[in-house]
Amino acid sequence: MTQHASPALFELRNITVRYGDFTAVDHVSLSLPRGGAIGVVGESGAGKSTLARVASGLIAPVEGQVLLDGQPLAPIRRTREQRRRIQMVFQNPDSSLNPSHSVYRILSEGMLLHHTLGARGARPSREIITRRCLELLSMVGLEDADILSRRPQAFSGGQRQRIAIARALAVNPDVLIADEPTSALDVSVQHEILDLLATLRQSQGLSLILITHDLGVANALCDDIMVMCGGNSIVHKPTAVFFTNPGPQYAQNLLAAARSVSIAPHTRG
Amino acid sequence: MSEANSNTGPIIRVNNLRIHASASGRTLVDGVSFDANPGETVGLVGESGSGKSLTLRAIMGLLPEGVDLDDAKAIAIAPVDAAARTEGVPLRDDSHNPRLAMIFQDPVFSLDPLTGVVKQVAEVLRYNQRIPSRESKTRAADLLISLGLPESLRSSDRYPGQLSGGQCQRVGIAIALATKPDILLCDEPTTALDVTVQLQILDLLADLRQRLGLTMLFVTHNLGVAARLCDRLMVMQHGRIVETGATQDILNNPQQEYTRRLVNAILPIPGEQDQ
Repeated sequence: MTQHASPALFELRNITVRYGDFTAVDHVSLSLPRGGAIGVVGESGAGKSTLARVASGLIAPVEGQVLLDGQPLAPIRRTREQRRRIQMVFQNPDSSLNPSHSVYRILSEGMLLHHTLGARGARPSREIITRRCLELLSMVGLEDADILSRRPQAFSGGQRQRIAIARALAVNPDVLIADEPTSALDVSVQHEILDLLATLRQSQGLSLILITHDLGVANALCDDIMVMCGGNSIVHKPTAVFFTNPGPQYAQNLLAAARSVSIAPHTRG
Repeated sequence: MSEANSNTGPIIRVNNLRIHASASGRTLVDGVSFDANPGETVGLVGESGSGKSLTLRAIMGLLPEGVDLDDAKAIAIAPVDAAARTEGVPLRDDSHNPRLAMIFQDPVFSLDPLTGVVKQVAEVLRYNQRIPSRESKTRAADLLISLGLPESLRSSDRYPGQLSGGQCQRVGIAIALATKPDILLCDEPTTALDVTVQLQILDLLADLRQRLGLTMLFVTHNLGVAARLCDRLMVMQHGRIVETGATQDILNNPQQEYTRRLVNAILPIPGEQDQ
């Protein structure tokens, strides 16, 4: 559990994004304490992914600020250190890993760029990099001997997503923004990834913004749930409160639809 | 619960279905056997690569390139004795060879993006039921509207890109129904949809099954979706059926380790016992 009294590590304040005339995100705010996790849920077109992209500095909002340690960040041109501290995992691991790079290169690129393995200027030895890569891979449950030399296509979808998560973790981020990290995966693999993220929250104080359409996933991992609809944040509550009192009609419908296909012992009509 | 009619045997009989990759010879579906009775909804569930979609496609005769069916005789579709049906109103009142139709996972990409949806449904009515061109348009619009698409389609057709994912799936269902099928094969038809839309489509399918007496084979990776619609489940893993049984038995009392893992991996939605 998080201490909600602690100051925000990461904050989105009044974020608005427009694509032409279309308002994709409309004055949305959230804040995240160290080690906290918020689930941003909603249906397609709600603005969840756009919000994630603003948080990670991939697109600039027309209004609003992103703050780290209370300091506003430049919309896109963040400092290297700021970029290191905020990492993102995308929904589709197939398109987020360079198909022509080995796992070694995929994982080490960020470490070298951000000098996470030693002082600037002193390039770490291949042994040190390899050791760190294997450590990361074992953290995400990938432990084959020859794994570092293989390319993404040699792995299954679940394995690729784990590589993408290992890459994000390689630079010791403080905030992980995960956009539907398990949606492309089988349920058994989903379980492993969610367990991994929960462990990282505890062991490393990683803060998490989890974008998901799946209320079960949000419930498994998040302290708070924010429901987005049509670019607006319509609900923002502690997770336990949300499930007993979802609030507006839209949130009730969402919850009812999720329950309709959940596996509680229920009988068919 | 739909009941098998005692006068008739299974409408679909799959016996030792084997499918392998043409190039590598790797076995993809490894001796799958099952029956489906008229009016029954049978779910094929499992994770990616389990062979569930290939099994469905083999029954439809729509195997993708690069895979081979070992023996086409493994699949038998029995003639329908319409008079013997107990439930629903059969689409055709004669005895005949059953027709199969299929709906697909990606509702947008399974439609022709450059043709209006009324026109697409009308085409099927024209070729499949020999309905004259002008009448086919009206009938197509009727069918689409009866499935929940907007009335405005009568006056102006729309392209798939102008419709939502859920609406496109309704068009896919309309195209399937336009062939007057006895058997509807569903390949993850709600996987690409939002949960509230998923619920609408599942309710629509349940309603059609009831009204038209359809036999359904339903492929899904989502046990919750399967639970809502299916009488019986077959759990597939590595090309084989590892467990089969009545839906509630499988969910409440899985016998195989793999099935247990699948059931346990489902994330609960808190508070559902209150429902």
